[in-house]
Amino acid sequence: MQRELVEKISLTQLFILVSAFLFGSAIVVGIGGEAKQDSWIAVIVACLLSIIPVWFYTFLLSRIPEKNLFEIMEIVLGKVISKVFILLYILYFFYVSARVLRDFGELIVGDMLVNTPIEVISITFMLFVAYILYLGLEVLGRFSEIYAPYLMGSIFAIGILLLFSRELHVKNVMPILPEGIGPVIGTVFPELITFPFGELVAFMMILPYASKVRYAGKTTIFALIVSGLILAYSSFVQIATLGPEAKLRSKFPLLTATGEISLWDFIERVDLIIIFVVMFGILVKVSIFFYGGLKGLELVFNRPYRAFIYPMAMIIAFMSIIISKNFAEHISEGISMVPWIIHFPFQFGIPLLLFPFVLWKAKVLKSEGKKR
Amino acid sequence: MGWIKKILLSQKSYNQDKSLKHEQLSLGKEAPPLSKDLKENQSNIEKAFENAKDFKIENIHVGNREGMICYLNSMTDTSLLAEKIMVPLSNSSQQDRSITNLEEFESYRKEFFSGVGYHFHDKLHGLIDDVLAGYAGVIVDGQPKGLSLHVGNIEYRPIEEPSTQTVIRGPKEGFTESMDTNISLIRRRIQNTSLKFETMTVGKDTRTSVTIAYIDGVINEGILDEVKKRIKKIRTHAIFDSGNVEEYISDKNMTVFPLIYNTERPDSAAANLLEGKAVIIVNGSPFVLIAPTVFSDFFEATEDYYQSFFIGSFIRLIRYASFLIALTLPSLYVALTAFHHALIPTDLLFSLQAQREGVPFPAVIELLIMEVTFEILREAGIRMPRAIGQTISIVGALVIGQAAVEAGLVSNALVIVIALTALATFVSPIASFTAAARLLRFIFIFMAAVFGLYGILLCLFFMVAHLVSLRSFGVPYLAPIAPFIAEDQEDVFLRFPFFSNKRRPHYLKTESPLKNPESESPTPPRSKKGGGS
Repeated sequence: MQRELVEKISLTQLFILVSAFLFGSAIVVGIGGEAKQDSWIAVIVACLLSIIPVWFYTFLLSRIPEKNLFEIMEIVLGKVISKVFILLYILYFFYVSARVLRDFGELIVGDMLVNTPIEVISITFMLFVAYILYLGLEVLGRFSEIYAPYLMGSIFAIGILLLFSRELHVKNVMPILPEGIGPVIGTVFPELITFPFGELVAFMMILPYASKVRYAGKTTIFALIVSGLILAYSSFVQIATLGPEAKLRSKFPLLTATGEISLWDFIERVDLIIIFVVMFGILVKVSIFFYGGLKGLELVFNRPYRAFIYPMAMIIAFMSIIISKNFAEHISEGISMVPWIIHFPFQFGIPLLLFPFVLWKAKVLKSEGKKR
Repeated sequence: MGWIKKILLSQKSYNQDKSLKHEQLSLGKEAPPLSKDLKENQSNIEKAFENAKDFKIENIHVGNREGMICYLNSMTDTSLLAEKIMVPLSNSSQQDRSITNLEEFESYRKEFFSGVGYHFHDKLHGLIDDVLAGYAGVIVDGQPKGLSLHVGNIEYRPIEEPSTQTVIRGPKEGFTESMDTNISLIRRRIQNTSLKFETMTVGKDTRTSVTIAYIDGVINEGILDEVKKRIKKIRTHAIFDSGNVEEYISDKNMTVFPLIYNTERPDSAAANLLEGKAVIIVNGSPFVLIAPTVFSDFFEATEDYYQSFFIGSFIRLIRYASFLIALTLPSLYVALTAFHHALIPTDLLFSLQAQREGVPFPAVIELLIMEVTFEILREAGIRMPRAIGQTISIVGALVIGQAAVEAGLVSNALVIVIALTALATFVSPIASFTAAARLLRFIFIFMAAVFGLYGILLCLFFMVAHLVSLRSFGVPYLAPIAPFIAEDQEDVFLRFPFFSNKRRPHYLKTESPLKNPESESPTPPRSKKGGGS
């Protein structure tokens, strides 16, 4: 009954973490709005296309087994050069988690606690993230197992409740593909492929800790497909309820859509309860990015990552506030700048750059292993 | 939390401080070995029991030699003593038996004291320990060994119906303070040689017996070793109840959730033994401990298994719901009335606001007044002499119910909230578990008052994260739920019928995972060919 030294997460937990990660902020801010009524098609296309990069990530990891992205970089590029890249990645991970946190803060301040300053939300939420990561990755995994049924259940319940409230108008989704596949592709690149799907690059820090590493890649891809379909479903529900124009205008389309639910004059304003579910997705997303960054710090500064948790959590809370002046700026940055300048290099650029080195190093290691 | 750490650390340095050496009470002190000289032994024993009114010592003849017998009349049954020891000693045929060496002493015992539990001791303190536990010590002149004979039989409370975990249908026996009775209550239910009892002594000054019961070949060896190890590791001067032991052997003390299950019901203990758990019986406590424990154990009552599985499952779901109600209902009231009016249906909102019209406090103060009043009432109800209990319940009902509302202190709806919360608190079969909900409730109320629904959600998140991190003897506390184990779901939220429940819980890692593989549904299988009624 001894506790294992390396923390492990089971495949079920990995599956749930990946799905919750993908729902995370994507389900809050709404994705693929530019594709108008075809955004659900765009989501499916993006999801299927992003199998390629995710497969590529797991392939990279499988070359040098039981090492995470940063450790691979250290092995392949040497201590000094790898440190530069790792520090860049740490910044990237922290920045993205700050962005996700900002999404959530805006949501709470905008819809739930109108008079509360956003700083309070950021700090309290980061305190929780710090607490759960302090308890460890294993705890995060089990924690997500508890909340996953509520997440999945409520996403489906929204659609059903909207149907019964007679708010689901299929005519809003028509016509399908009026301008051909062009707008859909335009949304998939660069927006959808990088957010939320490309962000799975953060799982390169988690996958080596799965209990059955061999199946970890397959589980991730399976989770990617399932959650892609659920996201498409959610997107479909949003369009059918609000219509493409209103969905594009709305800050948080899912919440606006759920706000339409009204049954027996009793079940109303469900959006406040949906925040519960959204909060879980956000938590997983912030935690995983944060964990990735912390693992990087652990490697660079050679200290257990728990030493960094509380100060870094507070820095992220602060970052989430200073990254943009208001919500409009935050969103427009997210659409116009972040995918090209930040997501692309870290999600595809650096991994592709690593690819030949990893192959070469794996070969060297293999032949060394044979010699012994 | 820094100051707590400081206190704990100061305790550590206190222990290391040599100048404050603890003077151990005489009973544990190393006594001299038994000598061959009767007079010397006698004076040593008398010195040890100096000023003990219940200590009796008599000079007797054992065979043809001088001897003595000593016992505590507070711990022995005098009629048993007379019948089993004094009568054989006064038998004339034994007067000429010579006892010159150990073999003769032993054969003398066989002949005259057969059927009485005995020990031979060559150390004086061993003999004294036995005398303290209700033995009669016999020493013969010229013999380097003393004989202790079990004649202990102390008056205990008879077996009664358990006062905490009552059932409508099911066995009504409860454990008592006597460890022997408790062991027999378990043995009566499991008549099997695999049922083992191992006893150890805990508590430097009280020397309390603690028995570990387990089923050999079922319980996981690692867990059993861990239980034994932790009980051996207890360093304390006194154990009075299993609650003391529980605190010493829990995986973690900094939690409001009990990590060890306790029960007053022998059937529950027996059932848990067969699942592959260890039962810890502490002498003097009618509550036995069961380890390892998982969260869902606290929602299971033995009665679930004695009635139809439909109603058993339904009641179990009610228990889970009541735990949530006990935990969150008051805080939801605060959050909804103070922050999120939109979530309350309009008509209800109007009537709520109308009721709160005359109330001078904000919702959270109103709630805290009533919560604290209720906690006081509850504590008073437990502590006060039985005879006044009736009065208090009337006063309490009046205070909580009518008077507070009429005085304009609280609103009517709030009384309903408090009453429902209080009821829901009592649903869990185990009292120590409801304490968790009672305490956490106040944190929830406070957070709801500050952050509304967001605060409640944050609290729930913190609570679940904490729960998930807990372990009981190495078993994750939320075991069949997180980590999710599909095979163990047959007995968590719902109780599946027995014929489908063939395995022992997976998370206990038992040595024999199947418990009743041959069980079948009573419904006869339909033959494939049809026909045949």
